[in-house]
Amino acid sequence: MDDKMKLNTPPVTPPIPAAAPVDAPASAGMLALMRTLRVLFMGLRALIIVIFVYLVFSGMFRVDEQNEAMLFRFGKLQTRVLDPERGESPILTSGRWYWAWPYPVDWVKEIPAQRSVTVSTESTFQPWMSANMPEQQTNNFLRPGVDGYLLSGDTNIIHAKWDVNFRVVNAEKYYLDFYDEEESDVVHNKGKAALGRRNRGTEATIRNLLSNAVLAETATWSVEDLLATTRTLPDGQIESLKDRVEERLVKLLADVGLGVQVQSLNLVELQTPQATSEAFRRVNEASETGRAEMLKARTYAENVVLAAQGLAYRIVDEARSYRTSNVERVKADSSYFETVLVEYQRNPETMLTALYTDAVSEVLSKVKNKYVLHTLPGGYQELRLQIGAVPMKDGDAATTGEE
Amino acid sequence: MSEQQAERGIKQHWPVALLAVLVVVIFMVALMTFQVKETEYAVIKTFGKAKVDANGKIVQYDPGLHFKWPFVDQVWRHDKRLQCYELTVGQEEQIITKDEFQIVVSTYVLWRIGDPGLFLRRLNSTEEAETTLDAVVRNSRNSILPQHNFSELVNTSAKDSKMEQIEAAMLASVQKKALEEFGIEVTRIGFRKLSFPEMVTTKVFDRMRAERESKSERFLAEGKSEAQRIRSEADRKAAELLAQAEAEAKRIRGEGDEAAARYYAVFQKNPDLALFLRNLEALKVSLGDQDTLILDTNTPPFTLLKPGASQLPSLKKD
Repeated sequence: MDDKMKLNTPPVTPPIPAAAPVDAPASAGMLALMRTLRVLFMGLRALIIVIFVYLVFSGMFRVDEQNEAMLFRFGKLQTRVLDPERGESPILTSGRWYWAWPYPVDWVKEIPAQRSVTVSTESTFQPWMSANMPEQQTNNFLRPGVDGYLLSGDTNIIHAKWDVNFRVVNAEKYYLDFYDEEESDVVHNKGKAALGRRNRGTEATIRNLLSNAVLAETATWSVEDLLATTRTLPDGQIESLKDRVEERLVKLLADVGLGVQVQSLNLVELQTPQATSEAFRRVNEASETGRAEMLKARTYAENVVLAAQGLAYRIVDEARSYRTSNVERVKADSSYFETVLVEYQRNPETMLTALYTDAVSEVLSKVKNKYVLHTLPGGYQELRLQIGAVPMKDGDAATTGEE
Repeated sequence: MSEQQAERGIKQHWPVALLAVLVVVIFMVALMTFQVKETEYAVIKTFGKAKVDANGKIVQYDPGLHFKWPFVDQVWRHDKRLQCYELTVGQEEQIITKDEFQIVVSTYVLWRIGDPGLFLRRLNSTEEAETTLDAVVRNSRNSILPQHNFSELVNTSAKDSKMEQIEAAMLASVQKKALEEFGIEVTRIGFRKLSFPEMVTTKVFDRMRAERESKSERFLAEGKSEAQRIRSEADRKAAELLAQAEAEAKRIRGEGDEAAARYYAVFQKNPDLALFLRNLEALKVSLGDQDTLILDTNTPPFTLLKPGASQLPSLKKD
């Protein structure tokens, strides 16, 4: 085409494209949207990484000192070698970190293996007590199913409460062979433990075994022996109620194979029914009174025998003193006599007079009241003497007798 | 979109895709699998019918992960561990023993599933199992206990007490029936309470009070009797001691007198003089300061108070 045609030819406007090509620059809104989406996807990636890290680290766990744990993968118990000497074991103990996949792949069950757990007979053998009535009315009857009690071997009634402390020694057996009440509560009650619902699992089992042991043993003891909690066997040995019940309970637990060990068994309370407590109290009082009587009698006996012994010693000692003094006195008299006899044989009258005079003078010096009378020629004399003291008059002193 | 663009898209959004795939996989796995725990039995029911093997026995699944068809297969589970059950119906039931004692007993049972297939067919749940146990155990208890005397349950002689044997008999009676008819394995039956009807407890209290009264009186009487015996014994012993002491004292005094008598022989040389000396001694001993002595002037030395006493008798003779 020559230049004139080019100048005269009207300019050809390019055709309007039907759709913009992909690589064509987008509008501002689209750009903003794309930027937003890019940011969101980056955030999503970050979230995935965080979730992944969380999944990795949340699987780490440790076992408390008081517990032992078991790991289940898709429900199956896993074993591992923690101690080469023991070999494979399903039990996980404290002292290290473990890792598990998150639920529902893995889940961990912890058993309180070292912790001491207490189970009680509670009110099984006790009368019903209302919390609103601090002093229970004394009834002359007990209602079966409401008031609990035990029967003794001599068909008396007694109330008691026992408790047992135990710990799990075989966690695998304890969990795998015996119903777990807490798990069942969580499953059946949408994750919440049902309070007070403890009648199928291990604690209910132990409580019933304990009640059975207490019931069976109490039924072979008399009520007096039960109150004393010991009895004397025919061979003289002393038997303890607590030991016998514990023996039964340990045997029952071994038969059932619960995997627990009894640490202690306690008789928390033992009492007679309220309707008969007065009668039992009187028995104690009578027993004490009887003992007091015997004690008084023994004291009397001791005193009487000791006094008699003392008196007996005195009697014998007095006799011995008499023997000694008598012999010595006679010996002295005989010696004196021999001495006097020699002198008497030389001069009898003088000796006699001297002896007599000495005796009279000794007597006269001792006697305070002496009367010497002249003998009258007729030989008759009347003499009046007041021997005793004159009775006292007001203000007068007693005077001696006067002739 | 060109292939390049698609490839770039995938490279940019792979985490999202992965997440989506993961979610789908997890969802599918959850729908098409089920877990069986170590502590439970699991059975698959297809359209309500339990899956059986070639021998017609219901298939039980071991612990772990297993496949099932979603929406078609249902999983029936039941705990296979030992459970404790305290009878609900007949928890406190009155029974008359062979010797016509009225007693009220309460029992507990330890049981587990023994035959899962049979259990599933006959019972299906723990509640139904417990209802069945109520009937089976009560039946056994009510038939066995009346064959025994009360003294075989309660007796101060341990060798005459047969409570364990009665429990074992009840267990033997229940075990076969429970396993063969219901798939329940009963491992233990025991008494948890043993009591009397309400009216009987009144009589028991009266008897207890009477026994205690009798005991009180006996203690008092025994105490008094023993005290009396002790006192009598002591008095007797004291009297014996004194009697023995008196006898011994007499013997000793006798010895003394015998020894003294040997010295009396010397007085035989002059009995009159001996008597005179003894009289003088007696005179000295018998009179004291409270005595009154009346003498006359004929008694020496008061003879000196008579007239003419200043002269000596020998001079008077001359």
